[in-house]
Amino acid sequence: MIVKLRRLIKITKQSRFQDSRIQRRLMVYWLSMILVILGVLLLIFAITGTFSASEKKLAKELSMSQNTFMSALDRQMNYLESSAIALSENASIIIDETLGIQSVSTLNNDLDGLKDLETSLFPLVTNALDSSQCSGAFAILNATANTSAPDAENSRAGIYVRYANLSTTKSARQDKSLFRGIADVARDRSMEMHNRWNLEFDISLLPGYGQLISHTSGRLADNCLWSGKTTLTGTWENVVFLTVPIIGKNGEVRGICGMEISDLYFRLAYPASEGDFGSMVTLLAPVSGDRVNVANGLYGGSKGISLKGIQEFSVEKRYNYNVYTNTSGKKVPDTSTAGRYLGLQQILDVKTSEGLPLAIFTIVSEENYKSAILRERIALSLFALLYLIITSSLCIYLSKRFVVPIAARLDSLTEERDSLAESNESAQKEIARLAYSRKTEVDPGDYAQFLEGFKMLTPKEREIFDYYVSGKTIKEIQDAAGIKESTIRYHNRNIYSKLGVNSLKQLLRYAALMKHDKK
Amino acid sequence: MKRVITSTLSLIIVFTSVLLASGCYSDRKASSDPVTLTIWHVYGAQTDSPLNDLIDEFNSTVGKEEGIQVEVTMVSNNNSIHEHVLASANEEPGSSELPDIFCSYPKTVLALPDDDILVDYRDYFTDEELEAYNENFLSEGVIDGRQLILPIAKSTEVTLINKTLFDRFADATGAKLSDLATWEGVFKASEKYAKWSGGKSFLVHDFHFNYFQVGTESLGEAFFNKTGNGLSFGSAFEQVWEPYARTAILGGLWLKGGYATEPMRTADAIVSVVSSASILYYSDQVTYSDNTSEKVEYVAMPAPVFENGKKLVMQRGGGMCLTKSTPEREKAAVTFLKWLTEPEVNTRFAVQAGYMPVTDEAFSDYMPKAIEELTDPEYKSLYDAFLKTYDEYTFYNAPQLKKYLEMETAFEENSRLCMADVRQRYMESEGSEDMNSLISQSLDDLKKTIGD
Repeated sequence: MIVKLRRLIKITKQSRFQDSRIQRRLMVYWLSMILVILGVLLLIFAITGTFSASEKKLAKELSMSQNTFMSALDRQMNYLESSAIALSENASIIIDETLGIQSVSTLNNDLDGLKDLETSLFPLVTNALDSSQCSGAFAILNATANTSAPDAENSRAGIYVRYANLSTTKSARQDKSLFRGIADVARDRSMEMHNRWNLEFDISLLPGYGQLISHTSGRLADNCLWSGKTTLTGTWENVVFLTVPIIGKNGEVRGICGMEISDLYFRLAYPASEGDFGSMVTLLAPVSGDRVNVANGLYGGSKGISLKGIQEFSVEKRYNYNVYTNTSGKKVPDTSTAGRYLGLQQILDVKTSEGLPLAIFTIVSEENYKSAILRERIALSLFALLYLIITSSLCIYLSKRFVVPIAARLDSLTEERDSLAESNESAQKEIARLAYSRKTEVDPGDYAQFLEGFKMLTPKEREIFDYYVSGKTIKEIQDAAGIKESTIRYHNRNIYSKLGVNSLKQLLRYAALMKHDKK
Repeated sequence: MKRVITSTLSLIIVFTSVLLASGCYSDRKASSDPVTLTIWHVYGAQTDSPLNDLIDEFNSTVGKEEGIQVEVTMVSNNNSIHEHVLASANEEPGSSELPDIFCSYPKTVLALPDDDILVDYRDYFTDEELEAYNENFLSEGVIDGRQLILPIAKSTEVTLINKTLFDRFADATGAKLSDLATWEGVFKASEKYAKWSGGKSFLVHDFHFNYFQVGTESLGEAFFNKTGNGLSFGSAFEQVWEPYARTAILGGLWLKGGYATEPMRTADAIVSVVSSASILYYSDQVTYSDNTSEKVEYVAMPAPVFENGKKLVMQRGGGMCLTKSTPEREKAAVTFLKWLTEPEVNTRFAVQAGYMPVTDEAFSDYMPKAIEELTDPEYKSLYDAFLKTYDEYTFYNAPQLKKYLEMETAFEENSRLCMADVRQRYMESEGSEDMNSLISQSLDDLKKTIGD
């Protein structure tokens, strides 16, 4: 390779003594060589991903999606909190009207009293559900229908209405069902009962109930509690609760109320957005240090990425985004076999029943990201390869068309020059020998006349004289000088006359002698 | 120089080919853009759904390999899905997009503004593949010569009895479970139970419309009139109406809306005639109004028949419709449905949900073993009743009438109201009003409200 390159450089140097057309051709060839080298570099960079802007692009896409998600969810959660507070205030009024300053515990074992109160609370709860972006609403009284029933300490009366058949959140056709509450309250209003209906709430399954009942102080807004994800017993649905205390005029916490967001509702409300790196999934989950409690969170529409079965992510913070690794050790039934995700997170300014901050996440599958990068590299590599093939073909063509003939010509010229130099040397030697050997045979007077006459030659005569000296015949001189033979012969007479010679042989001898003397 | 360039180029091409090949392989494996299908179904409603579990299984196995993910966006009941499908098909404000796959009875397809939005399964199934399905089940899904509904599981009506409470009643009154084999026996027991319990309902029927339809047909009379736009209200209908209304007036029949599971859950009724698939929604305990609960046992029997009638029973269980989209999506949906109706998968699904599988191979080769392996006594009892029904009964398929759903809805609502009205009058008169005139009154009211 280096030898070839040296040869090319040598040829280029030699071409300086050639005509400009050869130089131009060589320059074009050099240019094509540079393009080939650029192509190789381009291909290497494409394969290694040196030019890839995927990381920044991913960060930008994640950021945009995260901002949109954050804005929508923040608005929804704020709205739900205000609805829950309104529900609490209205429920408080109704309960106060019924109980006055009496404690809510007076409703214990009072079936009629509970039915009346639930009947009054029913429209409040259904209205709250209708007017809020949630999948269920409830109001719980801190009393039970039967204090002697088994597990009565965890049983509380109240009304819990849920959407029966969620399809999409924008749909106006949402059937409701009574999940908890006195059956006749629903039957009297032709509302269906949930397939897993129960008369009362099991507060041991309701995160934050004890906390709100026993530790409430300050404004209602300061007591809005969000729970982690809880499975509704006997159903396939998981929900996150927002709970607010119901505080009576007497200062007693009468119970709690609030809303639920089910995982199906969340999935329908926050569908996956499509980006260059596959689906971007939204997640709402509690965080603890560098751990994300995925099992306790809700995730949006997935479109191929399923977070089902994942318990926990560990978080590794990077410059543009975070890396989330499934550390739950369970088999993950999704398309991301690696169980690693890339994304962004933001902590929400809400209170949670578990005390852990709640964060929202936008994530993509790392496998999809890598696939996208690979596809990008392949596309770039193909482009670079195509470019390389074209420039290499051009280079080969130019090599065949220009460089090979130029090199051959320069080789032949070099050989010719060497041969000429050799013959010139022997000719000079012969001339010197002749001059020397013939010097004594030359008449000095004739030679002196020759020298005098030489000075008197006209330019045309001189030209013809030179032709003779160079060995040309009359015919050749005719062609070279472009004049007629008669003209040449006319000049010949003048030349002979001025030089005082009688023959061409004598002319050539004196010319050689003159040249020798000049040297 | 030429050799050097050629060698370099060859190396580059080989390297890039390897890169491309690995890229293609990786891309296929990663399934970074799987086809995500949406489905509305009825299997499980608000309880744990066996179909949802199977969908998870599909997504993580075949779906993962083929790049198909099925996403459940509604689990509901047939009527609700019917309403949503029609709202979507009619592009009503607020309606959502039709899913790729949805559960449907022929009545829903017939009510569509344009059934050309649905895929004809014959475009994706070979004749041989279709022949594997039970012919009767398959033919139910043929509408205007096109296979628009694919059966995935079939149910029938059975009697589900709260045996714990029935035994208590039987001990006190001498009633027997075998009495419930005929409607005459059921009505007699209902009257007895109403008296014994102080006016509580004995019987709840999920669809009064089905009782009258099958009952009338079993007595040899056409339930629908010749135009198919109304009911015939013949003598057999009156024969079926009379004891039903009598039981209702006496309080033995549950007349409030909702599904049969509701009064059964609160012990407001103890015998229900329901779809076999209802077993999913039954809880093994009843809760009383004082918040005490009781563990109960359910047993199943074939649906009651009239003593002088044919042993006819309603065939239930719709099928799956496939919405037209792109060939890629349609093919993906068919891949899922074929997987779901593979004999082993289909039997597993059917037995979990109280259904029968839909292919002959599943029925003959897989079903008996699956029933043998059942451990839940309620499911065992259900499938015993199911098999007895298959052996002894003739299945009745509701006719494909344009106004079927409209008539069903109107009848369901109005028959309840008419019977509830005379029941109220009977109660207000403290039993002094003439029973026969109340029964006639209720029938006249029904005829007036829905027309004949």
